[in-house]
Amino acid sequence: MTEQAVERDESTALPLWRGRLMAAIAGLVASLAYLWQALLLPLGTEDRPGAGLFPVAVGLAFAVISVLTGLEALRGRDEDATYTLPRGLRRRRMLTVLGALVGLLVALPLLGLLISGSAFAVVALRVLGAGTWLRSALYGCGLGVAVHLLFVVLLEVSFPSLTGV
Amino acid sequence: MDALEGLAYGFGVAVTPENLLAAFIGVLIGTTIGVIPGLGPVAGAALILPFTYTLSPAAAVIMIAGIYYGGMYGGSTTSVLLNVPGETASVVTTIDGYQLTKKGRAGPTLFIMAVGSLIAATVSITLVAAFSPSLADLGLDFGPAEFFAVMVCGLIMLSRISGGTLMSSMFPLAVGLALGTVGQEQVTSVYRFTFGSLDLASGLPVVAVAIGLYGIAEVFSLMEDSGRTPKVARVRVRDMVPSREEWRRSWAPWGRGSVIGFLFGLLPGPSAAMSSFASYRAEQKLSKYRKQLGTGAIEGVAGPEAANNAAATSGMVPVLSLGLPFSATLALILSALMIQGIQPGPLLVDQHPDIFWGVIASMYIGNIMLLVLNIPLIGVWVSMLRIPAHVLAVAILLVATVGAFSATNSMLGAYTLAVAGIAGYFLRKLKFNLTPLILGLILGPLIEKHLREGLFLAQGDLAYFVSGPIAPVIYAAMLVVVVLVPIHRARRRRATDRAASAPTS
Repeated sequence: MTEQAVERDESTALPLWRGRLMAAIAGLVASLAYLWQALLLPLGTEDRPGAGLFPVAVGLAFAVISVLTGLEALRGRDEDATYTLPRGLRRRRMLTVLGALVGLLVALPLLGLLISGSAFAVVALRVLGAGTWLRSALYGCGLGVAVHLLFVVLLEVSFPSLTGV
Repeated sequence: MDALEGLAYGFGVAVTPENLLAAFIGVLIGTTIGVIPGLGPVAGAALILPFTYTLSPAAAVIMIAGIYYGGMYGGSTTSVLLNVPGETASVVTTIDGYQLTKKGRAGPTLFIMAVGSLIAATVSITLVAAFSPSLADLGLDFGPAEFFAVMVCGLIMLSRISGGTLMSSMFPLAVGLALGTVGQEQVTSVYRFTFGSLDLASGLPVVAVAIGLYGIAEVFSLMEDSGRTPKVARVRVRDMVPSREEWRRSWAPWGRGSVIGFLFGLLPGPSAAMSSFASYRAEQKLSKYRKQLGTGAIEGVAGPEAANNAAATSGMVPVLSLGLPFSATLALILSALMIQGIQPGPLLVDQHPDIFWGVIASMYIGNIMLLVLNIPLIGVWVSMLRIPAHVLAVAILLVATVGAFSATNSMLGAYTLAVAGIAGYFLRKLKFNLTPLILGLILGPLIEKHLREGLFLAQGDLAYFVSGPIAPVIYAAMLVVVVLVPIHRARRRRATDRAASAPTS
């Protein structure tokens, strides 16, 4: 089996109902927190509704829909439907790229687009398999410069940067 | 201004250099994004939205509309060449399109698709021009109660017919509505859910949420398959001319698909995808060559492709004349208009005829551009399919982050993008529909506005929302779609099951 074929098999099949149940629970928690905050807003009167009226209605609907989503998930427990998540090398790659993306968000206001964007592209390309570090550095820096020219020079988007680049 | 005058005026607007360039860039980017499997027109429109702020409102909408129908054409190219639909409206095209490629007819199939798109646009634009003024007149009778009814019912109907279970749409819709309430409230200026952040006062950036949900989430999915580099059929320009037989057999499906697509475009739901399925079903019933469908019949491509293009054109009518988007891309068009300070609705035709008629006419010109672009550039699209997925993924992640930042000119956009991307990735994995989330986010504030205006006007009398002739009809239509149709279907299914299980005498 080739390396690519091995890589392609690297995913875990999980029961769909369980994933949706977790989403429903997260939704219910979020909706209750949202509802609590919405109830702190002025509700107004019937003829002069306040800023809280619509959020309270949305919060209640969100909570009910979350419960129904959970019930629907539980009803589908016997079904074979699954969803897949990457594992092994694939998961490591995705998490590294996600980490690089978080790094970009942290570095962008400090280092500016040119440096942080190029660094992100180099790391992400290397992790995702563009070849050697040298090749990734060449492609990544090229990409960073191209995006900088497009946004900063051509479209005049100003990024906050301590380096002034 | 009657329909003909309006259309003539629209062509005058569409051929200005700025608008021609906007249409060209739109269809070019749309086709490019459509060709890349996994990235659809929504991601393309979301990515381009921040760039449209400096354009005139008409040019901005023309560009996004170009991405919409260009993306559909590009998506169908991969359906034919690779058996991989670029987006949902192209799923049907894979059935016969790829079979035709295997028979060595890829070139003529792509040519038939491009000509069919142009014909569909012509039919749809004619029908749009004929009916839009009446729709706008009807829209003038709309008050808060009617707008509230049509928006709420539209969202509920969309959730019912988008595919998957009811909660697959309702759950993201609730999330979208909740997110739409973040920011400074318009009537009393109360800050809601901002937790002291001034950046959040103007609400969550729709562009960043859309790029995250569609762009970033799709890129993460693309990264999962980054090892795949597809083998693509070779297509030469000189092999693209269809045979006389293929021309002859395409006319009727083009006509049927155009009308079907036009009608579906006016309805809530994923109209382009639904219309292509409906067109294929129509060909299965009406075509003289129906027995060949599924084995590489040109009707299986000509009809659905005409349908999804016609739906893309007519789908603009509810957005522009009523302010009602029925898909995520159309919601982004609405968002682009609102960012530019233009309120879509019944008055748009009179107050901004350059936008209404200019956009409609530009879709015709854009389809001619697609035809001219796609035939000589077919080699370029084919070679684009050979770009490794990881290079595309990194480029899109970088451009998306910067685009989200420039949409708000603050890091809030970039942070929202990352959170929405992760949420979108998991919601897609769990088979939730993402379109209702975007629609809820964009339409939520409008629904609230109409609700509060209605309550204020009626001094708190809730009966106001079902008064007048229009609102009750809208609620009745929703009840039919949401309640009666499923009951009828369930009864029919039970009757069929009973008949099948009954002992034969």
